[in-house]
Amino acid sequence: MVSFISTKTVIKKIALLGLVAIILAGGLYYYEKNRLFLENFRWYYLRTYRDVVIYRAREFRFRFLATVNHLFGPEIYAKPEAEKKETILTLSVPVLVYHGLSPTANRFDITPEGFRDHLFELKKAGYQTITLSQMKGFLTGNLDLPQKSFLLTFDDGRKDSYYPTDPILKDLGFNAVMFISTQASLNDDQDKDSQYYLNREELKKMVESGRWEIGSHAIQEDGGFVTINSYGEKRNFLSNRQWLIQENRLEDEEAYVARVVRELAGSKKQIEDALDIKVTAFSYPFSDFGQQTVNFPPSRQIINEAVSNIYDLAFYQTWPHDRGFSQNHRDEQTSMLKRMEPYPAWNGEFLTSLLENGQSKNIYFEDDFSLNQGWRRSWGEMRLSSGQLEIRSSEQTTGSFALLDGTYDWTDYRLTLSIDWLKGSHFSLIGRFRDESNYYSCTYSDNSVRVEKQIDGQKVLLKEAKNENVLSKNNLTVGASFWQDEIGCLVGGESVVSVVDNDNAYLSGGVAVKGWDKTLGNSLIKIKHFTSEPAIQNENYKPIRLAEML
Amino acid sequence: MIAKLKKAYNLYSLRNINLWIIFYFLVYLVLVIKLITIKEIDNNILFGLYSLGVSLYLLSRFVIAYFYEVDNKKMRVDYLPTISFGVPAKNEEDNIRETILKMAKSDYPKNKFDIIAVNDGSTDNTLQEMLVAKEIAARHGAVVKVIDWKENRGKREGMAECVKMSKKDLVIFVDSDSFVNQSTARNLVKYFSDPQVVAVAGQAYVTNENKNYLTKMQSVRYYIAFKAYKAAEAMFNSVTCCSGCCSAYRRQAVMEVLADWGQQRFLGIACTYGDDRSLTNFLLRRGYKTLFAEEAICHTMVPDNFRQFMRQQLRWKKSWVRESLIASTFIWRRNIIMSLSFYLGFILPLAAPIIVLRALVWYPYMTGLVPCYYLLGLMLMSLIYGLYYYIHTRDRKWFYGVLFAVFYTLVLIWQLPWAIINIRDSRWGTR
Repeated sequence: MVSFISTKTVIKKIALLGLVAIILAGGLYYYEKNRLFLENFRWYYLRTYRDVVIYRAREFRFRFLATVNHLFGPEIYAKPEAEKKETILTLSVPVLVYHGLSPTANRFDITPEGFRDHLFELKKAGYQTITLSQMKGFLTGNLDLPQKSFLLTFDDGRKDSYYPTDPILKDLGFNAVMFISTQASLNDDQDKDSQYYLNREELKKMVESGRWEIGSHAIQEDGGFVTINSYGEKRNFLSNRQWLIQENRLEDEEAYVARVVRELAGSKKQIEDALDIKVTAFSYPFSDFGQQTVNFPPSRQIINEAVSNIYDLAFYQTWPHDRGFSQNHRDEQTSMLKRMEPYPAWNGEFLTSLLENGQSKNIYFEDDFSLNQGWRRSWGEMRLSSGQLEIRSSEQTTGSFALLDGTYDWTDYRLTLSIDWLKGSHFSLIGRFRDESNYYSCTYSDNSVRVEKQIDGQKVLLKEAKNENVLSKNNLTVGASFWQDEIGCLVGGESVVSVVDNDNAYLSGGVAVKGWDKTLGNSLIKIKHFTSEPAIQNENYKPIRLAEML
Repeated sequence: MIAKLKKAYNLYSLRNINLWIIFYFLVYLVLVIKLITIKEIDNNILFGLYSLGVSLYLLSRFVIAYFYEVDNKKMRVDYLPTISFGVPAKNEEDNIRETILKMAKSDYPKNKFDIIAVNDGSTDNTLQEMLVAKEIAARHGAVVKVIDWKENRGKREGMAECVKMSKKDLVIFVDSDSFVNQSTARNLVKYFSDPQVVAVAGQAYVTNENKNYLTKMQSVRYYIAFKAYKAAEAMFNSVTCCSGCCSAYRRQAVMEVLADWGQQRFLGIACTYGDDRSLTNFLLRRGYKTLFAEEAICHTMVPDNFRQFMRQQLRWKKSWVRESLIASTFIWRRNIIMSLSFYLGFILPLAAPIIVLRALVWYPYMTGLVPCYYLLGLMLMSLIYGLYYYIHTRDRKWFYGVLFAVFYTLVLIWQLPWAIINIRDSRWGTR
């Protein structure tokens, strides 16, 4: 070193440069840490980030004020002793599915604002996400979950379902499941690294964050479609046998099964190998578990069997008008778990109310129809307005069917309905509803009241009472009672018919109402009031065993 | 409190802190880009490393030079040895009189210095001008010795003659078209208070800097070449070229190498250019210290037309290749950082044509992509180059520095292979 330089200057300069170097290195470190985000950045992602910043600022302000209050506030603001709250356990878990976020909403995409609104509202309402293993624990009965638990999932593994959502999840303390197609995301050919789908590196980072679990959305060779005939028509890959062009025939069943297993087990293995995790969940591509098959009806059975063998949990997607409850219960098949896709048009409050309505209701339930507390249309038309629930057949249906969500777990209950029966030859009060082919019903017609049972889609008449007097159409009060194996139908609070079904198939199940007429579009019922209460063994009943009847 | 704030503000405005922030931000950007480039764009790790090496080399010049701030307290300012100015000149009638008179006006005891002017076979009025200058100088009490050679013997011989003729402690070589300041001699001399120091280069500014774009570019280039490159080398006592336009040498040390230097041959050809670099090299080989004096200022003329400029550059390139080869055989004995940066500074330009070809021709041709990252990196480095100049000088010509850096990378780089091929051609071309 040169001798004319004073050490003091050198030290000063080294310190200054060191500072600069630290700042630059810090910048580089920050860049490297956020490289994936920065490289995949889209401007509209900022729309969620903005909300996150606002949320954090509010949170900070809240905490600050709380601390100030705590330190300097008068005694009355002192924090009350934490009440011992008994955690209410949930009986059902809803699962949400999103596909991605885009600047404008469309069939598969929700806007950043919409998504933020959904999740923030859920958080505000006290909802908390669960993990797949918690879900499994709940379904198998090994784990109790608090009320307001839900599972958040994303299908397809798109970049825009990770980058803009992750900060929200982070802030809200949520976690989510990403279902990826391994063909799109874990392609070994690095050159095919997509700008659209998440890649290996990103998935690894997601797993490392602890906020994300990865599930399989199958391999989806050839984009999820197979050719099914010589015309080159393409259909869903999982539920159809493939047309072999060279051999001019459909693949045989063995080859089909092998292909399904390859899609299911192969994708699982690929993910497990690539990310060093355990994959336990599957989501049916196109929500097709075989029901959409064109050329191979047994596929439903095959797929179900294969999925059950390979995965602990498998999810399909329900639509708002699917005939059933919106949430998943303990005794249901774990290979057929329901997920609902929140529509972009819904706001967070509405979504929250949907989830809340889907939760198991108290059996003391009263509905004056000022708000929808969980009535879901299965078919026909349903309208809830001005304190009435209107169920009418559409131009194409003979009747209509409405279901009360969140009643799946009900066991013994008595229903009382005040209705205007305006059109139609029959209407039914349905109880112990498990699915559309398994339930009990009280069916009222002009001249009879019948207790019926649907068992695997077969209708069984349990007992019929003929009416001497024709039922009044307006301000009719009808009811149904389910107590253990006793089923009874009531008119005007009086039991008109009751039966003990000693072949008691269903001891629990939900509530629904159905109207019917043999002419299209000619059924209309207005329900004005609905109450439910626990059923008691009715002394008026004259239990008649079926055997005695015969 | 207010006083402190004021002080902080003064420091802020004094140190160009906002500009430095921009400067470091650009540095940061370059590093980021290079890091990306290494990983993604260039699949070849060697090319990525090269690119990173270039940036680091350039930046290391700036950083090391930043430390080269000599402390007057550490040297004997009262050290006043006897000196000779040496000016070999050929056909320099326009400038030689002023050159000599500027030296004669030096702020230095008149009895302690003289001026030796060698007329190297000029065909114009150079000799007459020298004699006029001698008379004027004599009136001011300065001694000028004029040596007149009827035929041209070359600059090296002229320089050697100055050394031989001089009876003084130091010899300050000044080009016949360079003009020293009054304080230049004093500022050069003080460095020699360290007996190990045998050569000190002054800082050259361009006299005709505002003539045209070429001289403007060269002006920035000169500034950075001295202020950053030479200063960085001086940090390790190893300035590799004490340039001819204004450098002081310890006569005693030069005498030791005079014979070897005068008869230097390379690849069987007598060396007729790059005399300054060559002389410095001989001294470095002997383990002497060579330094750089930022405050010893001289002004020099640079070529103002493209043809002359390119010829000069070619000459410099040839001597650079020759002397760098020679220096590479012993420079490793000196400081480790010095030798590392020396070898890096030698290899990088040699490989540059391949890199430029690959980035701008081969890569776009093979992939059909515009080499965005390369171009962006180049632009940013050039910007840093220009900004460095601007921060130090606040001169509006900084943009020509940016231009020069681009020009250098894209055009001048190609002279190097040509220089290597023609290294044995010892003609001056012009001048």
